Amino acid sequence: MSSEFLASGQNVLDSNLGGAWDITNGYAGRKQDLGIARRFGGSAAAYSLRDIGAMNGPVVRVRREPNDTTAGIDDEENFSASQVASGVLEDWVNGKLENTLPADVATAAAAYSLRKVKASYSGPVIRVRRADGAEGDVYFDSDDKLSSNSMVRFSSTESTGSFSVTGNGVQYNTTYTYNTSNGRWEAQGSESSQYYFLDSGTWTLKYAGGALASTVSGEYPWVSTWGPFLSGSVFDTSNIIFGLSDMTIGEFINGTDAFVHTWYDQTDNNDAVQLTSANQPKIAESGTLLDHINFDGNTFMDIGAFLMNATDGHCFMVISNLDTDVETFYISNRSGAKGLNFKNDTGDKGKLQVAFIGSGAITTNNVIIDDVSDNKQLIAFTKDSNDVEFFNNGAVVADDGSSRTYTTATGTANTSIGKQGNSSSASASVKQRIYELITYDTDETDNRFKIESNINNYYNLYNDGNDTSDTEWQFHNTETGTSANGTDGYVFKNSDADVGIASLELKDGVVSGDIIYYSFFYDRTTGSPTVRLASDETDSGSGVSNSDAVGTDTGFISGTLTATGTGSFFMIADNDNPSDFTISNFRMSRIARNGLVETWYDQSSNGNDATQGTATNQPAIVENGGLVTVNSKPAIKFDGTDNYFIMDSEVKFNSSDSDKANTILNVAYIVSGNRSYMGLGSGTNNWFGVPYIDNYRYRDNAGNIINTGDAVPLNQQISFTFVSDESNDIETYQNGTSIHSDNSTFTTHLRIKNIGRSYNGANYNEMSSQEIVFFADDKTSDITDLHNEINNYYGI
Amino acid sequence: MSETINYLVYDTEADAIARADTEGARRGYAYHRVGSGTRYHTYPQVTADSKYALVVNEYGLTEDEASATVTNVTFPTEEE
Repeated sequence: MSSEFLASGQNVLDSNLGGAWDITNGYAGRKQDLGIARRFGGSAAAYSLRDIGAMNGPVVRVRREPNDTTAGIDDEENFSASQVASGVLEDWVNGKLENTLPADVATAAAAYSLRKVKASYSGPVIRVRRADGAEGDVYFDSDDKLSSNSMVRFSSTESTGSFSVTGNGVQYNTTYTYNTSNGRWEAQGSESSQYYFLDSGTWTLKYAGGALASTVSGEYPWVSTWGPFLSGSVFDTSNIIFGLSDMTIGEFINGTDAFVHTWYDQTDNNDAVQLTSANQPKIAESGTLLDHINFDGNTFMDIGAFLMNATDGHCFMVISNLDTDVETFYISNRSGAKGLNFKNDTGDKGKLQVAFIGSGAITTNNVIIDDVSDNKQLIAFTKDSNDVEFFNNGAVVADDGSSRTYTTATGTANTSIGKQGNSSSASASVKQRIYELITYDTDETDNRFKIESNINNYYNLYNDGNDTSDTEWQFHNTETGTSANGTDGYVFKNSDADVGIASLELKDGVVSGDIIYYSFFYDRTTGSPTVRLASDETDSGSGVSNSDAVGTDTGFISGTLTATGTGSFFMIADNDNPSDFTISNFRMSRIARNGLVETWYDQSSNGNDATQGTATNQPAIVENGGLVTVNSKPAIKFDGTDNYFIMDSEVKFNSSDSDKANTILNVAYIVSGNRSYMGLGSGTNNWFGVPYIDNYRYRDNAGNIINTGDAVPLNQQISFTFVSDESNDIETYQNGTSIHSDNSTFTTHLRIKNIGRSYNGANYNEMSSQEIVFFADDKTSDITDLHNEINNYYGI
Repeated sequence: MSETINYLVYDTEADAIARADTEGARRGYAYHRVGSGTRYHTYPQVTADSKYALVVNEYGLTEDEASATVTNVTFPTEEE
């Protein structure tokens, strides 16, 4: 009789419908509706990437690369089966879930932005000056950013200014700008007088001569606090006071330009200030609020402190519209012959440069910034004592390798945005737009991925997934039946001698030394494509990188292309006749993003987790940005070189001891092996070879070897099961069918502690593993149901 | 061209593990920050002459360690 407890509805109706459902044992202890790990009498240990008993708890613990070292913010996370399958895990590895704000990832020295970049900051974003001189502090809107809905709040000095009108009818008032020195509202511009008068019950502001002011509250810093009234009514205005009220910045700047007096530092350390109106950068033009601070012409801001002046430092900036024909200082703490300039030098237009005053400049080899481009870019540099490294949109940029000597700035503390620190003005031709500037007095290389991912997620600067300017794959020399699924993948068909090509244009072309990381799932009928970077999307001979062979086996593909020249295309080419294959889940990035498995949780509730605490030995679940899959189901990829897990507790196959595991059910995609699928992990005995010299072979604790004579199908998803009756009768199943029986070779048990490694602790399986379930007992009587369960999910 | 593998060889497993632990702490792996998770960057392997070899590529080595690294280590051979 099957030991399986079937899903509800298939059992006899229980009279005790109110019985408690136990999370471990299911309804009334009969384990209904539980996963395979808990049904069939429960398992000894169970590992899978689907929920077979985890009850929506974690199935894996994943370490992300690039990793961070922020205290209290771990670069390892647990993921449930649904999070693995739904893409949450992949998104986390790719930095798409980075919600920690940059100034909270690590202690920033200064943080300027038009969005909140430090969670605890509650102060204003900027102090804005309107063309007529009115100023106010602008606060974040409800979405923690600067927008037309952001409130402008005026200081008590400005808001207490008022005048009063008395009587009814026409009232004259010749002042409309508050003068703090004399407490009067004073006229400016061409309007020398205004007056309010009651018109059909509404107080209306008119200019001298009777011209109607278009909007009262938007045009001038007043808010009408009453009206309308019935026509003909008498209204005593003797006690009416006009004063400033909070208003939105949209109302405040209505129709005018506006400028930045202060860019507040969200670390509350050092605000960036420009006291001189003519030198103030712009935040609004003709009443339109900008999403950046526009440094146009002789505009700059001063910070009363030396930034990037410590031994180490890290600076992140989001910029656009830089005029590379103008010497432009992003930031500069130069003080006399000391300090540094981060700048665009006209001698190296568009390159990133940090000059250590008195020692020389460190400049990128290649142009990084496009001339006057609307494209926002995240540029960054680290200062590690005397060395500088540059970054652009999350990727490392080659520098010139030279090391300069930094001399600590001293004297009157200042760092300028937009001009050289110790100069009095910026170039009249300066053009740059700045959205965000954050500096640290520490080298944040280890946290760079986290910081930059948060910045990128907000500004959408670069697409970590597929950084291409195409909306879908482009094809050359292919035939009917070829079609693209956006940039995610395509169906490829070709049946002539010409090389068929699929390509994507890189958003930013590569130069020698650039690296592109890629991954995709390859489902092949025929063909043997190769992957490369190229300079001509129609010519596979225009390759400018190494050329990776995709191979002839369906499966998850990942790799690295290193540019040897200049090119603009990611290309997959195939000259097989015919070619017929599908690419899906394509990922491409300049950032190596991998998720390595630290723990494969035991879903049996016995706590026998399989772990790998050594980083370089951890198998991968995300490679180059893509979730490892086999037949569209997640998998853990062992590289065949040094990846393996160690089970918390040893189990014994073909045993009657308390730690027995006499049925072992497996789902995997095997590439190669050498007595290394699983086993003790030391010594020459105690291993399952899947394969060993092509076949399923096993060796017990006494050294007896079973050779099934059955070859292990490689490069395809299979299920295989080992069953023992505890008395040396060993059965092997493959895809639900018994393929071998042996009852005379084994004389004792087989010890298991390692997955992916065995013989002498030196042999490793190359494979993608999806499920391993150890049942304590001989499950021969349930074997059909077990395999049906596997087949129902995996389709094997 | 394959990368040269550099090893430090220790007489005892404990010394080798201690060095691996130090490197894991330097890298700020989770175990050293929150008490669980990844602990080491590489882990020692026993050699044919019963010593313990630790791959130290990308390690932060002292000058003495750097001069003590070797590139040839013999590991136990397979037997039937």
